[in-house]
Amino acid sequence: MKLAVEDLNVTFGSGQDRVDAVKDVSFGVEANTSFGLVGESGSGKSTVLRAICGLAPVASGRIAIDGRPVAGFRDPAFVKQVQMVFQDPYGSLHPRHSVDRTLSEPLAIHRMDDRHARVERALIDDVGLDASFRYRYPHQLSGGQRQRVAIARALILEPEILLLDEPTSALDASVQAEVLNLLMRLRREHELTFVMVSHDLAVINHMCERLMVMQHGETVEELNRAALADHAVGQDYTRSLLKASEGFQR
Amino acid sequence: MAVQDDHTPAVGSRAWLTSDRPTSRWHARCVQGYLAWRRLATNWLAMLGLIIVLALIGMAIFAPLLATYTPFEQDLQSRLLPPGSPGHFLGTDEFGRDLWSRIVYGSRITLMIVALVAVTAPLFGLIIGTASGYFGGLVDLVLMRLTDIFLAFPRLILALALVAALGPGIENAILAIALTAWPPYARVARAETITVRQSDYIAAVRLQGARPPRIIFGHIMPMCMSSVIIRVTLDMAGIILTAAGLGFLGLGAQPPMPEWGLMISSGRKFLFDQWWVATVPGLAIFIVSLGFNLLGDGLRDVLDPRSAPK
Amino acid sequence: MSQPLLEVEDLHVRFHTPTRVVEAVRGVSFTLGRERLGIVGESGSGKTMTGRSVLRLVRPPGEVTARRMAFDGIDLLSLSERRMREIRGSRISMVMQDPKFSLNPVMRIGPQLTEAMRVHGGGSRKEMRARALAMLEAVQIRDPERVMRAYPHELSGGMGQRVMIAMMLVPDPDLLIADEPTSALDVTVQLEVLKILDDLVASRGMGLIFVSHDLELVATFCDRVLVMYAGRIVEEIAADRLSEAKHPYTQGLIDCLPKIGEDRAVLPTLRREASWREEPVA
Repeated sequence: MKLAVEDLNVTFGSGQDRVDAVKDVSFGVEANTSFGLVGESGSGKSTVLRAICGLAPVASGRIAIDGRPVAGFRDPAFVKQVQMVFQDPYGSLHPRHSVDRTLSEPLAIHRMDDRHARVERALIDDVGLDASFRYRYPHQLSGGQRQRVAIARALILEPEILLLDEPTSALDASVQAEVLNLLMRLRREHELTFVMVSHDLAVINHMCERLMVMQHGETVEELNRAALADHAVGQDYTRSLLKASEGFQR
Repeated sequence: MAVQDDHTPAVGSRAWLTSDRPTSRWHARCVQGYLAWRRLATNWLAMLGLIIVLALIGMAIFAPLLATYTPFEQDLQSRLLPPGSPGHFLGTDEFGRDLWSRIVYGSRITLMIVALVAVTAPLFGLIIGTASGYFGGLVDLVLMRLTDIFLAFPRLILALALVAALGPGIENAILAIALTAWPPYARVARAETITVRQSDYIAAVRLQGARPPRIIFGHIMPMCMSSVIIRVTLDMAGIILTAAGLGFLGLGAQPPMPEWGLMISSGRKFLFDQWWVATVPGLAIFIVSLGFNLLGDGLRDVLDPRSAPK
Repeated sequence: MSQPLLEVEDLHVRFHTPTRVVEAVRGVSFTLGRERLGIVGESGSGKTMTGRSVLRLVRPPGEVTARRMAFDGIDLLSLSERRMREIRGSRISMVMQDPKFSLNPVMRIGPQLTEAMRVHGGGSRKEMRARALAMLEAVQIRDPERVMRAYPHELSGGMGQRVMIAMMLVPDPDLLIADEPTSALDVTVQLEVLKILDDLVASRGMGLIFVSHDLELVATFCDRVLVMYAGRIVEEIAADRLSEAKHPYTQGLIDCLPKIGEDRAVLPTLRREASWREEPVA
């Protein structure tokens, strides 16, 4: 099992303000596969991703990669193994840093060599932007282009696991298709393992072989793609999500 | 957006400066700087402010060339001559010293005060504020209480205390001003840091393994810079006036220095009959303060991230 | 045939900036009866500007011109701002995307609702309060008293949007323009809110313009759909005949969405032709 999450609990605040964002969530992801977390707002799906990275406090539970418990983003080895693509392309790139700076920084932090070539490879070969984008600033890029830069940044440290937090929710439908295709290609080329979060069941179905439905911080059920296609779902909530994805019915 | 008229020039230095395909970091920075300059240039009041500030700097640099006399030479025959007198177009003071020359050399002192305070206070405040905002907890508590203590000091009282301890002089006046000028910057920086800290781009760089110094200096401070720069320019006027006030009270510059505040002070004895002795330096202070204010307002419109293009 | 509720002919919206002119809407024409019309497009298509132009909410440096823009026979272009204000809100209303940004955060809901009433008619305080409660019940808020006393930030997204709808329907308008009214909501909540909107629009015989980026949602909710690209309408089609769409952009938009049960490894992407910007509408 590449990534194993067991009985994860994430709590924010205490006393009256206490919020149990994630309650006893468990799942496993095999290497080179894609696992989806589906839910609406408040389901805790994004919090699970942040807990895996150490960006959200783990109250209890175990997270293991390749069988070894993780230490979070403070461990340089972890950081080169797991990376994340954030939801909002307008918020995940530093507004005052050029694309070049954004991509070179992780290389500088880890004192990797050959930076110029790596940045070019990430920009051109990986995400399909041409060299002219290198010294532009985020406000000069479209939403789709920003998200490509964010993906390039996530891949530049050559991680094995990529966490994707609603990577296409803020993008137009046509741009979403391009970015999803890009992610599929990258997963194949770099032999990555994906954990993808979305509220859009159709997107998760397209990208992931297996998925887990969450609501109010808890697991509702786990499914695979075939079951979704056959509408062979066990829980009412999942059924209502499926129905909602079909549009409005009078 | 749909098709639009395009005025981008094909070749030349303007093309290089407005290029949307920069070829290097330096090029990209130049383009951003040029575009910001263009936005600033549309505001004529800000341009007026800029001209005044540049005039101040020019006056200070070229003082020996611009002045008609040295600021110290006395000519008791030509005491208290009004503006427009031959050889002294702004008149003379009670010792027959040419007012224009004293203003010109005084600009050096004004500029020195402004430069020293502007470099030290905001930088110090920025560091304290960003550290406070980023680390939170105990660090925040201690640093903010320290800030509160310094914020509570009225400048004049602190200046008096320093003068009593170290003796009068322009250096001690500058020290007093700097020591009381930094707290607002710390507060502004802390507020910005707390907002910025939640952003995804900060989460992303933490996830890359960046340590706090890199995050604070490389990622958080650039976001605070606009607010700080704007505040500095708007504060300039206040700093100049405070230094002039200290000079007026005899706590700052000492005679015979041509510091503008000191000139007002010594000129007040003649305010009714020879009004120019105090008024000319007063006008100089007014013009320079106005210049900094106008420039600061213009910079805020340009640099404020809220009004920046998305 | 009775007079159409809204007639728009050759609408142009231009923004004049120091360096160039940006054309957000380039020659849009359509009519609307008491039906549900959807305007679909991606970002930059001009759909939001079209909706705002009808209400004359486009401020300088934006410039709105049209050969004709008439609501119920009244020429909207030549109306004074005062007369426009009388129409805005009372006969034509607008619901926007995020109730967080369109409700006043420092006022309780009750006063905001009654303020809307006071501007357009009024009545005694008791009457207005009773009407406000009735409106909240009409949008299926089960505890209207509590909501009246609440602040906007205390309400969930779905409830906030229902309050918005209630507020916009208080003056009983003839035409409602909804600009991405459900985009900020969870998918199950979206359908609830749309159901409420649907019932209200049908029962009051209102016209509805539904602006959205979500083609599928619009096609299931509206009667007719206008597809916009680069400031122009590239296709006008009945909602139930969407699968017969002729323009490659519309077809592309439909095809590029992932669907449950399909088995496509690679999603078809839009290849934007320059000709789509210029050629006349089919």
